[in-house]
Amino acid sequence: MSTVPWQVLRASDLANSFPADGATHRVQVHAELRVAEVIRRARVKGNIEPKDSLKPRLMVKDLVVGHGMMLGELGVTKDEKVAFVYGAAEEEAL
Amino acid sequence: MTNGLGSFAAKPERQSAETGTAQASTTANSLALPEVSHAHPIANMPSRESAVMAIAPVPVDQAQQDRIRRTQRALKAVGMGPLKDLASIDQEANIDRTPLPPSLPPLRAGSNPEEAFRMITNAFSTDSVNSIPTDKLTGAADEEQKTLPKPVVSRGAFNSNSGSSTTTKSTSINNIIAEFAALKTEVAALTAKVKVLEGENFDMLKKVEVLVQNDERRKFLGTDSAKTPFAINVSFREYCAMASFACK
Repeated sequence: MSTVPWQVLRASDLANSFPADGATHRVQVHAELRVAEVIRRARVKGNIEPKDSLKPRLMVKDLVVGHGMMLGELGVTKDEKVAFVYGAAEEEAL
Repeated sequence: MTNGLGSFAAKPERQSAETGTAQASTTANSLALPEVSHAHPIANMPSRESAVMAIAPVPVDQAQQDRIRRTQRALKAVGMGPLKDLASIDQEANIDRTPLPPSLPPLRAGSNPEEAFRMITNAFSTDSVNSIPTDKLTGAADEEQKTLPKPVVSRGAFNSNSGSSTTTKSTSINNIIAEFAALKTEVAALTAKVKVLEGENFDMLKKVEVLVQNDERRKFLGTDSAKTPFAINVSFREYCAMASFACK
């Protein structure tokens, strides 16, 4: 699946606990939108400043997806549950 | 040796003199050899004049003069005159070769590379490192500049043999610390500026995204296009560097 351990751990957490922990927002997207743009919209919707989210990731179907992928490619349809995972300022040292 | 030994020592003396000359000639040969090897191979080739003198080592300056004479003869044969002096060439071409005035003195000690090198070498010598207390290294720049000259003065009493050198070392370290503190403050200011600009950009983004999404809805809602908008549920979570059980 993925090579980075924390991604795997996060995916299992997400499958168990969505959407109980963390805020949830409905974001308007379309099939030709790229992941980077989805992240931008999610930032605006959740009011998360760039300095607070240094390494933003989008997780679709328990997988971290690349920022250049389009949602149509990923098979994201209406009312899909995705996760926006972002790092704190301390993550910069990693 | 020559006068006191008398006539019976004359014969061995002559022998020794002969051997001495022989040794001298061999040493002269050995001394002349590297000079010959350094010269151009064409100069070593036996010519009509040098074939007679090939046995005896030719002095260096004489060989050079020979070479110069040969080149001048060759130039005359070709039709060119004797080689000109460099000064006359400069005069003809109106080239001014007077040395330039010395460059301006450096604005501060660190800008001169030699000075900077000396500063660094002084800083890394153990004497000057021991002279500065470690608790003074952390703190604001202004405080360091005020407090650090004090140990210099006190060290003058301890080390009377090299008082001036220790003061220069300590002042150089002061310079380094002051520059480092200035750089740190500059970097902090730039980071703050970047964050402010990012925040401003984010505020603009909030307005733009609303317009873009409204336009998207207006254009593509109710169509069969690939850009038909729909909504997805996005959950927000902060990434935790620890294992997942530690984050819960």
